[in-house]
Amino acid sequence: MDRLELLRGVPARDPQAAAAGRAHFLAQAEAAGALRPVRAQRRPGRSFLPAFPLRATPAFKALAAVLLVLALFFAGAASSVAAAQGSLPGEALYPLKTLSEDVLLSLAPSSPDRLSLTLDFGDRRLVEMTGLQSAGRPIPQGVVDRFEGELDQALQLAAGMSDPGMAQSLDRLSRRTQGQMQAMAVLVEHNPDAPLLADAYARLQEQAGTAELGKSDPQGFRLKVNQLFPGKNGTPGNGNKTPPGLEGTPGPNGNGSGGGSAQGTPDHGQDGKGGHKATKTPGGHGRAYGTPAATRESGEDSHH
Amino acid sequence: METVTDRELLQRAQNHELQALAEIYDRWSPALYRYAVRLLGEADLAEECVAETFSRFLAALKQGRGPRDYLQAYLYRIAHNWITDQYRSHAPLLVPLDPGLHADPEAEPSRQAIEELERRQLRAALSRLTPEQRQVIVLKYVEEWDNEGIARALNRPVGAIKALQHRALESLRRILISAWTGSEDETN
Repeated sequence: MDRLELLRGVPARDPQAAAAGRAHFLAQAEAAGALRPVRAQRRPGRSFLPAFPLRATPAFKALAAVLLVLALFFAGAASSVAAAQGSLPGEALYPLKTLSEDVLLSLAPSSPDRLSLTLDFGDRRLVEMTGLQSAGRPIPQGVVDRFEGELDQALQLAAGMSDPGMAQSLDRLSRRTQGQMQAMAVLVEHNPDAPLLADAYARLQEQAGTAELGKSDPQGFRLKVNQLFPGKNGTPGNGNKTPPGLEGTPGPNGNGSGGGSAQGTPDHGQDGKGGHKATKTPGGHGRAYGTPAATRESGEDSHH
Repeated sequence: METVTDRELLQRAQNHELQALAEIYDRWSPALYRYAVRLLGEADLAEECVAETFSRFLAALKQGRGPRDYLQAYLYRIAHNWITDQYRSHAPLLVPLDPGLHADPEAEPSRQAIEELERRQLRAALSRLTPEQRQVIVLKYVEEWDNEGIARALNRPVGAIKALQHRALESLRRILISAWTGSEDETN
């Protein structure tokens, strides 16, 4: 049976096919989660937001009330938020989707939880971009910006952790980044005239390299992240406050708040209002991603 | 094989956490792809196998079913069943190999071509085994799993796996010999 060893050699997998398969699976998973009966999603003491170990703090109750009003405004009850999870940029429920993400991040009890969410949301952006590309729709700049903001956020969260926690988080971040690179490579291939996507791919490559640095040199990683994001604390909605897990993270100017970066430096845009928004251009706060009049779409020069 | 991390991932996947599902996909789709290519010989079919495997996994989770542990064995079972269905509808031809191909490895056709022909022959022969025999042969001698892992994948006791391996090897030898000699005797 030595000849059976002949079957072991396998040609390299086509990265485009692999990425397409991954994106398809995540889209299925997201749709399956969004379509679950609301009753099945609820747990005692929780809201209609996707399952997550949240505590019913007064802040949470207040935000839940705000979300309820917004959900009713969008002509649905709690199911609107669930239904929004499968929406794409430019669709009516997409702002509700991003708002629910911001709320979840604001309410996450720990840095590892926030990192988990941030990695999830990065995958969502890729699923959205892939969905738009498949539908022949251009990919708005705002979506790419938000995705890069989530990459930034992930690095900052990891940098704020202790060494053991950071090692585990970087391992997770690395694996996720590799998958995201495959998906982005497919998007770049199909949008050759979209420099934003090429930039995002390059950004992912940097992310992978930075994460690898962190695995072998935690202190060097922290220094690099602080150089990349001086004074940013990596936590949405906290303005000037340093969240648990990020105390002691040095920053030259201590500026952890504001409506995004005015100079276009990589900044996931802490707006001090409970939102996590990626802004790479001035005035990004509150911009509705996918609104045609407000966005420079990355595919506008695309041949398709 | 089963690790604490696998179990934790499964629990989170049961709660439909997208991150857990993404990690599961990233962790197992490369190996499942290789498994499918080894048996099917075609990249497109292998991708289809992987897609269908994870789709069925999602469907099971959505219905509140799916594995509580040993995720690897579960996913390989799904892939194996899909490949078995493929064999039933498109059984590879078991064409006798020309014994003269091995006479001079430096002569045309090249070694790579010979090996590719042999791979096809092996796949065809494997397709003629029973599904369980095929799975145990491939997991043991190609994927290099241990008997405990194979037992989990087949939902059989370890002792039964050893007996199954023995019968499977005998069957495979008979099929290959009949192919090389061009005889009709392909009893299992």
